[in-house]
Amino acid sequence: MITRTLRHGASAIATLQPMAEAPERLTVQTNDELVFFVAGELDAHTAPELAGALAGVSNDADVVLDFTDLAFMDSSGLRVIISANGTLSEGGGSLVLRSPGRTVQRLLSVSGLEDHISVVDPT
Amino acid sequence: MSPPSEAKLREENDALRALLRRERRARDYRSDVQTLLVETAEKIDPFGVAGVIARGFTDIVQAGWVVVAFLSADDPNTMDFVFGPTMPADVARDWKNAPLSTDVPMAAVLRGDLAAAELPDPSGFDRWPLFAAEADRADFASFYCLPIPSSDGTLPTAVIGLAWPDAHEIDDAERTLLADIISASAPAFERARRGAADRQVAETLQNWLLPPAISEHDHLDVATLYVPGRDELAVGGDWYDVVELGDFSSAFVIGDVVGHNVRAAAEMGQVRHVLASSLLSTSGDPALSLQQTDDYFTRRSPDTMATALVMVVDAAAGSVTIASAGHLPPILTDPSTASRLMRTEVGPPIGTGLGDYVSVVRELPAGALLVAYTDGVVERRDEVIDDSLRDLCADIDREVGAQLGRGVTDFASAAVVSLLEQRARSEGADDDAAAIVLRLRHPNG
Repeated sequence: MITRTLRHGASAIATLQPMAEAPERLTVQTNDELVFFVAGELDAHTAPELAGALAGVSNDADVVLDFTDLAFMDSSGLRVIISANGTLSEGGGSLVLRSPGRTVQRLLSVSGLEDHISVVDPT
Repeated sequence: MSPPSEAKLREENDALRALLRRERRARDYRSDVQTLLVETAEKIDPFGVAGVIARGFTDIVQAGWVVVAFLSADDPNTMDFVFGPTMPADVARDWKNAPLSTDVPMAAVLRGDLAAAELPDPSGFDRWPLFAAEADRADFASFYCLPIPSSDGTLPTAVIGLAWPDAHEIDDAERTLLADIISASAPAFERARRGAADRQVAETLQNWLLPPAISEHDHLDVATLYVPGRDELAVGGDWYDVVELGDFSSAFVIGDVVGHNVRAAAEMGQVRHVLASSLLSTSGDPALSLQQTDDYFTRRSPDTMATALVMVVDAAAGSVTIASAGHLPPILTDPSTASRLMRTEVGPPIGTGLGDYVSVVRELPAGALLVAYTDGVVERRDEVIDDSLRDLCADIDREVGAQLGRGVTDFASAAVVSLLEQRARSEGADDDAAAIVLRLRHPNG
């Protein structure tokens, strides 16, 4: 199993004010079946980490984003998902969100994306 | 060998004393320069830094008059002057700023035409008639103008002018001292100039991107809100807009570009204008306008993503036609009932290329408030969105209820806007926020 851990904790403020080791806010771990386990908080600061992790995936791949341990997501996270979804469906691949919590499901529906993003095993 | 004469001894003594004095002065200089550095570091704009430098040079160099000049942040063809405390007030007043093209030594050095100007006595003043007249007025007989260099080695970030009442040739020690002070203050100057430029860009963007004051409507009270975010440049991607369609018909837009920085603000300006243009060309068709805008950004700028709500009010029919691109639902507050979320057909955000928007027509009773907003007034990290929206409705009801209790109805839209502003500025709300509150007036008033 290939495990890759990406971390991101520093915000723009942190670069101005040196601080103790920033807490890890988002981790993305992937296995060789292209399941990305996304844990922590997915927002404007951390979304580039997920985008970076997905950038290396081939356009015809079938990708699963496992959100079991995702505590928070905002519209910046949504943008990464929509962008990946578009690229994959054009290239003949697919994107599935696995086990999103209620807040993520609600974010999808209030954003008009229920019918456009595949979800399995909602919790 | 004869003993040294008394005169010779006195001469040596004087030389020694002079040397000691110079060393003491050099030590003082070092601590003065250090103080100057600390003081300039606290200043964030060029005027502040120039003020510290002008005062510092006056004290440290003991020049008669000191003046600092730099390019104006408002106009690159103008230079601003800051004077040390000894400059005669009338000269300082007349030289607050001047065109960069002015034929004086400081302008020539700031333009890069001269590396420096060194005029140890008035014989050199004739080359500069305007300057010679001012030297006469301020009563100085020598003048040195030195550049404060920029880190990239191009034109100086500022220039400093030093004048003395008598002919004065600066010696090597003074020259070293000046060079030290100048190189110590250069970074502060550059930082301040950059900061001023960034703030200028942010403010210009913000002012230009949001519509000017909303014009008076015959049939509607319209109140709007924009609260900048708390990042260092205070710009964001939220917006509101109003597009006049006819005597009884106006389109109102509220939207939110994903992202929080100058880029989001620039994208917001584009989305706002493309959507407004579509609203005009489709005679106010909300769904079609969103469709066209989505198509446009999917093709032209695939990284742009925005949510938007379009509401076209028909004041004659008492109705509103609404379409949503992934935006939060508007709230309808009828004074006779509790606030409720207005049901809309929600399509995907603009820029996703997923299209498919639907307009719905809803009744807009006279006197009712229609509240559209961005998540800056609701988003709370730890709450499900439904709970946050329920809170917002309850807050609005409390506000409107309090107004009605006092027999006031006309203030309601403005009062709701101030409630939303409080929420947007509350502790923990860092996002920018926008809102628009509409109220259809009763036909008789």
